[in-house]
Amino acid sequence: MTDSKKKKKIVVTFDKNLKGKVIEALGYSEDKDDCLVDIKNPTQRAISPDGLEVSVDMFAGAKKGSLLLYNSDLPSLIKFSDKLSLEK
Amino acid sequence: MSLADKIFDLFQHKGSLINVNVLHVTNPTFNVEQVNLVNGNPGDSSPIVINPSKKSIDVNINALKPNAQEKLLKKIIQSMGDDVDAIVENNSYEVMEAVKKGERTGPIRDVLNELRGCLPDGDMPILRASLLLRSAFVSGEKIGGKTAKDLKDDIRFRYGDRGNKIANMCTAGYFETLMIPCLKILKSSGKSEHEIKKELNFIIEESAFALFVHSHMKENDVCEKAKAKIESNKKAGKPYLNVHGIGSKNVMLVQGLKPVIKAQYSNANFEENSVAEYINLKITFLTHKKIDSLA
Repeated sequence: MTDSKKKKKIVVTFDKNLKGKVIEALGYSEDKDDCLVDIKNPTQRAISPDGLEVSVDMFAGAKKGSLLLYNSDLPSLIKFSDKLSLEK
Repeated sequence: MSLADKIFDLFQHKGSLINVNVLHVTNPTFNVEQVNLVNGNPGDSSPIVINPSKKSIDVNINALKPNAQEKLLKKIIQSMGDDVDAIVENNSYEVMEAVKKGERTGPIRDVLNELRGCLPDGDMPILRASLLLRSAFVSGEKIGGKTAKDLKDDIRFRYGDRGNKIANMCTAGYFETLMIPCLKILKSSGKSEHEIKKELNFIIEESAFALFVHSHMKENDVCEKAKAKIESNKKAGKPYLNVHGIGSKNVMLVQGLKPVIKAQYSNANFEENSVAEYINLKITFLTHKKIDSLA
């Protein structure tokens, strides 16, 4: 199949005030320091591809695969953007 | 079943899952590439809006009852192993789109193409971020809810002093007016890749004999730093100083520098270039009985 015939993957966007629901649906909750933790393993903090912790406030979204969570600072979003672009 | 099909299927279950009894929902005739979950009116009788030109659909999640909202989100997350690539908060997505759009065309693409592989290791991501920051400065508009200051704080927080230097140089246009011309000269003079990177690193680290006024500086700091910089530039054989300021407060600080410098250096001349909330004050002064002109 040529690139032009490949079906584009869907990107889902959500309003900021739906963030809590999305985080929960992804299987995360927050600990006492506002960092995202695995609901099934609350001592396990979520780590972004840059090795940074992800807080509720900074959570920008998630990428498929081994479910990578990204922060919303500009350098993180550029990397997130690169990951999406590479596969399109 | 694609995510779009799953969504439309969910909205067929009136009564148990949907807040209203009468729904106006039409399936799209295109391959959906973007699903926007919006926080709309719970009594919305048209909870799915189709945007053919963008190949997207807007889904008002509030039109679903709470248990159905949960169901919808679970379907989306499950689809991430299938036809969904990512789920992104819409402000963040706007930033990502701005990055992609900016780098596809125009001056940002040109700068990146010129400097790719030539900047010191680790500087390219900083430059990419800085070029977006500059777009925000120039337009004066927020990108994904972030002001230019927010974007600069992101750079400074992640990349520290190095990020600050590159962001300042980029915003002042130094990559086009100094770095790229310098790179071309170095390349044509036969310098090795290592030597070129070393030289560009020096320019960034020394901020090319310029003073960048930032919002944490007070009037006295600006004056003292300008005088110190003038003296160090003189010793380096550079009879000038470029002072840059961004934002109304910094513009005033830079303008306030003129009488102070004139009092100390009677032979100083000023050339002011200001646009909106940006100023570049070029100070030249006599050395060795002549004024060297600036490029």
